[in-house]
Amino acid sequence: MLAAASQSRYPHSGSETIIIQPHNDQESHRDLEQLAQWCHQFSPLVSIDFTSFRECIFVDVTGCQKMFSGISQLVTKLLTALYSRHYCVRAALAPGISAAWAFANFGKLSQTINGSDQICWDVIPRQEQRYRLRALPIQALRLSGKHIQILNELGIFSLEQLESLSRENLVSHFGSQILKRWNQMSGTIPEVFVPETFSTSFQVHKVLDLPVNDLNTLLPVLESSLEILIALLAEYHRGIQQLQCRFFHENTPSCFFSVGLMTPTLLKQKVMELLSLRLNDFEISDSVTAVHLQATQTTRLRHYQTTLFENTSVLLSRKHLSTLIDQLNQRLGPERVLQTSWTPNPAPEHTTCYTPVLNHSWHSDRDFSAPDRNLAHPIHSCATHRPLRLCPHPLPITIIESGTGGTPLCIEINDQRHTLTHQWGPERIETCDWRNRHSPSQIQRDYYRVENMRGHRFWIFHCRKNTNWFLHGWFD
Amino acid sequence: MTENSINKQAIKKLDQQIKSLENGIKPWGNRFLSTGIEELDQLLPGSGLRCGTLVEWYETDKGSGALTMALQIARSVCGTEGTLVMIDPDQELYPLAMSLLGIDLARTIFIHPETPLQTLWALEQSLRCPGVTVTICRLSDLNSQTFRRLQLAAEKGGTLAMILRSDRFEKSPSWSETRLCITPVPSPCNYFKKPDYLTGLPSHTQRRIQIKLLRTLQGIHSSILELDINDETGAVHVVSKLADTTSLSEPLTTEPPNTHRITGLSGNPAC
Repeated sequence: MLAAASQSRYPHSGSETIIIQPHNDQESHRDLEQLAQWCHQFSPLVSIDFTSFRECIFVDVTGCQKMFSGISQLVTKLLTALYSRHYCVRAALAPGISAAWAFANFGKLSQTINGSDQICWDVIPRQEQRYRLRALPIQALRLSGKHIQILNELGIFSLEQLESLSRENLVSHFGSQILKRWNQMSGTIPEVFVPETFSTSFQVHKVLDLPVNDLNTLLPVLESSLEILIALLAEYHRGIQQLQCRFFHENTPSCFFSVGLMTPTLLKQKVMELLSLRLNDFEISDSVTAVHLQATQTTRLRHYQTTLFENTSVLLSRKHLSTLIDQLNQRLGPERVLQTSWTPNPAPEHTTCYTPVLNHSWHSDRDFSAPDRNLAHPIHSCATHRPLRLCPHPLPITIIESGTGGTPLCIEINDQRHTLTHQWGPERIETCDWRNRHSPSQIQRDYYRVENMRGHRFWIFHCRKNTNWFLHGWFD
Repeated sequence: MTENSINKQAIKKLDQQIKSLENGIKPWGNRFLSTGIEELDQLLPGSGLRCGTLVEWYETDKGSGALTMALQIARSVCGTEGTLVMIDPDQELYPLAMSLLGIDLARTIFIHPETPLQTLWALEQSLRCPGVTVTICRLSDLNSQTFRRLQLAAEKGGTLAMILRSDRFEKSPSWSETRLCITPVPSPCNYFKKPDYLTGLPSHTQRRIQIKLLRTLQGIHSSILELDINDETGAVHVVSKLADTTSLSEPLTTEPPNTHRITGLSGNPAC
């Protein structure tokens, strides 16, 4: 269902209003990490799987049941707590990692919490594992989409069908990955469980021998503190995504500023450049007695291995771009470095809204060659002639001379007179929300494209509410 | 590939090598980017705009079509992977219209600086960044020192800078390698009367603009190119010359109909 359609089904007032937010990969990962950290109260070994097409959290509960008077009690307590936090959960307790993932995602889970179908779970004993695995679809093997498609084309949809095939034939056609996955799932070969290591505070506090008022003296102190912080983060394979720098003063309360990064990094030079850029506009009112650096947001660093003949220019270009965005964010502020997203509003001034680039994931796989109308919101897909420059607020225009039907022949914009030689239109744009028809946000406009004697083109409209004429844009 | 075309390519390559020796060694070499408009490429040395240079677009007033042309070229230069940076201090750009022109907004960054100083700083930083393919910005007055800084930044980053300026700065000194003046061609005065197809001039979906090439790498120019831009599809094509209706009975002697109206008025002999 489209967002606009779902919005129209629900009333705009009251508690049932739908809130639509764009998907953000980084925020989603951060939330999953926080949830995994919360799971630590049930087991010391928790890990997150970001690699599968369905992300999930693994909790190794081996031996933990003693603390909760049994395995069922442990699972019930964990899931009840998640239910109270309004999560929808599918959980499976199995002897291996792959089997647990497969049952949680594709298995039939018979047990629920408080009778709610939002939380389903089941325990799969070792002796039943092989038998129950057969009923699962082949997607449960965590294979690539290409392999799944080929298997489906061959009429193989379940693991039972796959099990009946010769292992040698499978390897020769699909490589060793399929066999490895199968063996991992059935528990015949071991799997590596890499627990997440969470640390709540990555911070460095440095007290200065003498109070300092000079930026040039402070910078080396910040640099040495940053070095320690980076070394601390490197142990945990985490990169800085947001850094808070706090200065403690002699007589006045402490002051601080934050530096945000588009991609997590442990590069001292890059962070120092951003800190110095920010310090240029930062006023230090009093002598600084201590410096405190804290990585308020960190993300696990991901290593990317390039292949032998890979074009590294794209990777380099993205790296340069993220540095530029970081610099612009520090100097101008994130609210001035933007990307657009569509809104389901037909009023031209509200068709798009700007959001900070930091909140977007950078796309790279879109076809750029043809006008991409699908990119626009469906509500704007019928728009054809739109000016490249739009007045943020429509400018009232004076009609000097009108033709038949009231269409303008000569107009005055900002004390400049334009004799119109051409007009095309009207194109009616109006919002038709019958619930708020008298609201001032509702528009009823007849738009015209007009051309003056010198060939300049404007976008003007006639407001049907108050019969005034306005300039709304230039075909620049 | 025929022998003739191989020879042409070899001559073109040699020509570029000679020019590179004449102009000194640039960090981005002599990489030329096609504008996507064949006729405009033909007028430009190297058949396109050079990487890491400034291109100035002079416009008579708002609504002249200069931004449309700059975006058309940016779309072609960015291709499938390039990034476009739009510096818009007035916050007037309309993303929906850009999307209709074929600009991929997912690969476009909008910067809204607050002050003229921030505008220049943001422009310089984006030009210095090798990750940016094209930067478009509207500027008014520029002193020579700032202009030179921008040119050096573009040269370092390899970014193509499109600077939109009022035509009153046409005579002022500039560090741009290419300078173009955009003038809209008024449609014939057929207010509400004649249908477009009778006039032989742009229909309601089209607009005509005149591009005057003022300066290129080769020096001062004054070549003129008239283009029709389709507002709906964003397609650009050179204006075709119509046959004279009175001379239909006469034999065709000098110029066949549909000759492209590319006029080299007093340009360089090389053009």
